Amino acid sequence: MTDLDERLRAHFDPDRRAELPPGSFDRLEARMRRPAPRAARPYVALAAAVVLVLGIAAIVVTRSDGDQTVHSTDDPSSTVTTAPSTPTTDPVPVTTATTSPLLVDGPSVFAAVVDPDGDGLGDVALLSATTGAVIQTIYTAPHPPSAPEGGSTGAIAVDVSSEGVVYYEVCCEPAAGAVYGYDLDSGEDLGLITYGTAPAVSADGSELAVANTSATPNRVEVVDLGSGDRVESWPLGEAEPGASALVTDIAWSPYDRTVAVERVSYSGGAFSGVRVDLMDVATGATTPADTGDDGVAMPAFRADRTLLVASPAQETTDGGPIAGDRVVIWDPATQQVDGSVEVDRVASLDASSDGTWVIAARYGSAPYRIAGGTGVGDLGEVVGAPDGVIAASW
Amino acid sequence: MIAGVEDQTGLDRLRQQYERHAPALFRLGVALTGDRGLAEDLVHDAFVRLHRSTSPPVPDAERTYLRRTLLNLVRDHHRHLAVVRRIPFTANDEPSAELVAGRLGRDAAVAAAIEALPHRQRACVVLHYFEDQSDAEIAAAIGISTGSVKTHLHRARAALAAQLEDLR
Repeated sequence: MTDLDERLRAHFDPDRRAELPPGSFDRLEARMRRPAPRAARPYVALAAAVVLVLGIAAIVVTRSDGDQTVHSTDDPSSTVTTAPSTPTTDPVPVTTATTSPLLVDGPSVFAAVVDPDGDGLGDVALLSATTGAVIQTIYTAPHPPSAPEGGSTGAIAVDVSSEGVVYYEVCCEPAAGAVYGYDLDSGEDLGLITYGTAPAVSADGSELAVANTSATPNRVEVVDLGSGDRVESWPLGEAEPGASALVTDIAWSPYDRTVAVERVSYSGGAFSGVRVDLMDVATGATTPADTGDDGVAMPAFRADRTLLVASPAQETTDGGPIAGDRVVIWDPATQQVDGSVEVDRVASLDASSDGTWVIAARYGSAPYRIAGGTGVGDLGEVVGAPDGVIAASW
Repeated sequence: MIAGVEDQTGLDRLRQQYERHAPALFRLGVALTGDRGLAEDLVHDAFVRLHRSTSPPVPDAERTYLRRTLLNLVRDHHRHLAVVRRIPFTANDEPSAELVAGRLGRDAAVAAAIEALPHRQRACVVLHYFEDQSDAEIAAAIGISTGSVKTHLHRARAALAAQLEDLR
């Protein structure tokens, strides 16, 4: 036996003596007797409690011509125009949001991964951008529709096609990432679409990009939604020397077969960076989205071919990725930063296809504030709900 | 309410299953995660799934079912952490491998090196060094080939040796 073998066996010695804590079975019994959240608990009260505890908010940031920089100030109240709103119900935490083209009533409805029942598992719902209220629940964790027995740990990503099909990733049964579909028009559950993570649907709704995170390095793969065939599969290069990298987000551009791919790097098991690359899925060629910041994340395309990213992305206090301090407009054509908006901490970012709407969910205890000097006067409308989703357009 | 525990018979059956399988499952969970609280949660998850199953295993196969489920849950947990830590409602307060190691009286360097392994390599290491299982038994537990087990163990040993050497 080698020294390494001995050290590894010795390492596990304490575990061989581990005993279940007292009352373990009682906790299991209580859990199994617990009523299903939606069946037994008033949704609104629960959502309000979640919001109260977590203080989730969201913002909208930038204008469609992409040339404006808005800076926050310590006291923005005198310069911000916020239209009053009367939420019809309490907002829920937004985790991963996608806005237009899911425009049911103007740019006011978007799909998101949410947790209204507070079970820690992501559900998928349509939300009102003005109130944050759930309009329609698409999927409730843990059981995916049509899924084999085994359950899941909930939804972690969602995207919506121009034809109104919601694609959402459920982690992690029956495989490491499975994408399911739901047709909003017909109300039909489309079942399992493909295996993969971070789904992003093409602008015409004919193709779906996913990440194959089981491959080393991770690959970007494209599924033809008509035939179900996997028509492209490209490996990603090294994200960071000596580090392993995991694809955590993909955005599909509204004008061609370019995707933006977010990858988080880990070195020695610890977060070591995050980056975004553009990939032409016809060739597999990639270009880094280099904003000059140390860490770029949460890509979202705008209709004018620029890319929104959260930057600089950084490690959060819990050791995971990633929170941006700014939303940056980056132009792939010139590879230059066109503008930026300072924000608090962004947890999710997306833009609508018409380029005028951007929603960024963020978290923190204080209400979000939109602020700034030169840009504020140009704000058209800001609508929102206290501590919920706030949206603006101009 | 989960089917099967509404009446005393169902509850008694659950208790018997728990007393029979949960202690060993818990120890495996601790070895895999280094976190006793998490290990207990995952063991509970495994039992919930057992009782939700529309085609539950026969009694002789319950142990295999629960172990496989636990391994999958640990895999899901590690993968999920990589993505979900940024989700607001799941603000993560998981302690570092070093903290956990210290709490459990483990070697912090070894704990960190094992934590850094890909899931399958980590699972193979735990089943081999913690449970002294053969390659064939590990293959059956994880659902991969014996050759893959050998490959995972070989790569894991190489990675662990390199990382632990760096820390000397």
